[in-house]
Amino acid sequence: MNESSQSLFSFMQEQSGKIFSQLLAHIGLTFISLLIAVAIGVPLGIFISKKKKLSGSVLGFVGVLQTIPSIALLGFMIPLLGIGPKPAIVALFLYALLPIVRNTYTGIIGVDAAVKDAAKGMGMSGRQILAKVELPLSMPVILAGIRTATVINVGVATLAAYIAAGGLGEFIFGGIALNNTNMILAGAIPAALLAIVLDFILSKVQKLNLKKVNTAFWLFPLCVVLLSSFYLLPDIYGSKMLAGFTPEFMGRQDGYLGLKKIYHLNIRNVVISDAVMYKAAYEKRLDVISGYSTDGRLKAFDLIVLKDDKHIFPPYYVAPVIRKEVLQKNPSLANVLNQLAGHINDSVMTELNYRVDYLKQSPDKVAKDFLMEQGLYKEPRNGNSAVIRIGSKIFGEQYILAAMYSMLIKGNTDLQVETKTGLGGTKICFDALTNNQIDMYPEYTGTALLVILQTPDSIIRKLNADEQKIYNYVQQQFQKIYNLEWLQPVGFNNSYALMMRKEQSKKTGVYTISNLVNYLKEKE
Amino acid sequence: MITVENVVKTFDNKKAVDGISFEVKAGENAVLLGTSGCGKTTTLRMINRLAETTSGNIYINGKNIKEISPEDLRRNIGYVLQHNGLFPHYTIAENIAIVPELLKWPKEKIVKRTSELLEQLHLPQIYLSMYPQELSGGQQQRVGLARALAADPPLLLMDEPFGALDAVTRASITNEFSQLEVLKNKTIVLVTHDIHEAFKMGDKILLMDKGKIVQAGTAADLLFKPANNFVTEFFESQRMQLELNAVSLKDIWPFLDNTIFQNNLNEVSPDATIWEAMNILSLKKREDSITTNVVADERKPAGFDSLFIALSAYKRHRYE
Repeated sequence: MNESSQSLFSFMQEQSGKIFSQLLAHIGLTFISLLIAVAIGVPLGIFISKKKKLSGSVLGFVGVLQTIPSIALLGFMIPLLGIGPKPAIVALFLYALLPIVRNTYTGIIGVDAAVKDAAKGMGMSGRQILAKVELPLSMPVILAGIRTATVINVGVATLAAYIAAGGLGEFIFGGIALNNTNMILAGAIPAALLAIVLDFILSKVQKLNLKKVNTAFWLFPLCVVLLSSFYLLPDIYGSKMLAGFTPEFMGRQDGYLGLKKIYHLNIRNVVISDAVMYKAAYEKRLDVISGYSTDGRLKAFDLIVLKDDKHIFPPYYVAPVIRKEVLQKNPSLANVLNQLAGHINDSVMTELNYRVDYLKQSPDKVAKDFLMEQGLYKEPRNGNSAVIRIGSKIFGEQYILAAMYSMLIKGNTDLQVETKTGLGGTKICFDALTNNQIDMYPEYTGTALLVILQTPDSIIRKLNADEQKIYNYVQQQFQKIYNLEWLQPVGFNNSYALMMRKEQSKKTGVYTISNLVNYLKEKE
Repeated sequence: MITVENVVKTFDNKKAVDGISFEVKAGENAVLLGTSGCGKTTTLRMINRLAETTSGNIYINGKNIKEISPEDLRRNIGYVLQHNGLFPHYTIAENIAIVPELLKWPKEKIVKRTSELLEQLHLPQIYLSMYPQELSGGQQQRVGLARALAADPPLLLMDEPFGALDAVTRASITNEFSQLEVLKNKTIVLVTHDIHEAFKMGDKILLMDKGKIVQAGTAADLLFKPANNFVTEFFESQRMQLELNAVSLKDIWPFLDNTIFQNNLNEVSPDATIWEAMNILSLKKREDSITTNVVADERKPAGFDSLFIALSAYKRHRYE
């Protein structure tokens, strides 16, 4: 415990520059969107308090915006606004809108009718009543709405890292992907503190004497503008090539770190979610991305893989990882699951992924069609023996594999299956397995080697990027350390890869990573 | 001062005010009396255009109020509400200064006027920097009146001004308001459902029912010469007290006997009502008489009996 807190402290110290700049970006993102939300939300709230007939539909509409899952909202923004701060700010703005509009509306509606009547009866104009009576009297309620919106925004802004808008989410998602608790905390702790501090400050503003609220009303936007300026908009739209890497890729030895060390690649880059990266490349928002070699979107978006001519990306053969206890209880299971071994090579997997990711066929359908084609499919026996819980990470290939395993088990045994798909990342999946939340999931040898086992460089060098040696090594280690069993590999290698648009690759003559490095050097 | 001509107000096809006409002369206190829903408040609110007439016209000093912008019209009419409507975020001084500020008076004039008003309404000056919620209900109502009087408007509209107060405070503040020097020269239109308040404050009472004026006149007119059964029944439950309250010693002066003159009797103002005179008699232990004078140097004594006899004579003489 002592050791780990020490290392968290030293991690944060080591990364303090980065934490600080991410924190500033985070504050900036939060407040720019808040500023826009106040500028639009307060007048909108006032407007619907005057035109009550519209209030239902307007409040309903901003309420619906609030219910859209944040990551989906960010996804919707990509085709409209690309990646980077613009879509993030718009999404945050939409989230902040509901509490601000609703509280402005309720605040103004809630002003004592006798007071409004008196104001009118004394000859105040509508505008004077608003400025001198309604706004000052509803200010505590409006400020409460702004306070809620601020806290929501601090939280949602962590997701901005998914679309290359920066902020503390870079650490959080990087940490989740890399199984690095310190990194998660280095992002999560400042984010939580930020929310607490802002909430506290705003609660004080809210409780100010009614008289002083007038001053606060003017002071507040000033502060917000000041804080917004923290967000020095990341210089994204430059002339040179721009790379988009996932948080995971950014922090890995067989990722960006390795590219820098072995290839001396130096490219301007942003952190972005895997979910939107391919599309962003297709839409020319990004030029180089870190993808997976069997990804269906490779085909869909007309991208090509740059050849890894110095072999820094280790092989990623997929195989089911299963708890030993489960295998012992159900001895037939291993043979059933191994039926799939050797049936899927790289191009087959790319094709299957393409059907799911691009043709939008359901993973279940794709899995069933494939098994039938291979003669492996059997009608479910609908048995009622024990339940096998199959997990999967949150991308198409894993969904397909999980579906295939589920069908194999149901067709060949009396066991029941429960699938827990869409687990956020390696860490979440693996923790679920070791904590007995799931019984098995498909894992990649490379990921196991580097992320889960955190294998030292000396051993990695000895394994020499050999697929069989790596498989044997992780199998042994998993048995020894975690009491987990690796079954036979499915057959394809879904390794990391750098990708570019085909036509750009042709135009620039960049076909290998070394080509890319040289091309970038020429440009400078 | 105010002429209301055949005014109709409909809400959702229902007539709240159904073709009423009346006139209030300068300096007169008119009371719109009636039960809830009779249209009295709507009538009042149409005078300062808080409600717009559906048809008919209202003139103030000969000018149709439709030709004046609502804001300008309201700034020149004092308005007192049941729930005072003081701004909770304004100090008493700021509350009183609202209309003068709207009229863009110079600052010194506003300061002077505010403190002057507080004095006239018997409120201590320290209230100026306090907030409404720090004052009692009765005090708040007085500040509400001060605010209505701030720009010294010739016309005051009062909507159940004492309606939110408890019975005791209500009686004493009604009394106080009826005697306030600052209200003496104002034209007042007051809305109430309280008969005693109406009798106390009103030179002229407009008794309303179902959006129409049933009878208009002095309290005595309504009591002793009711236009129809509705009027009679309206006052039925409290008739005795009302009658005694509606007639002053001045009114019954000719019917008081002045044969026996006694010295050292309590002297009562001729403006006092018979009810007030009887209250004084009630408080006394041995003497059963009081005295009053209407004509200088002439006094007449009175006791319970002589007051009742004089009242009967007055009613007979005046209304039969």
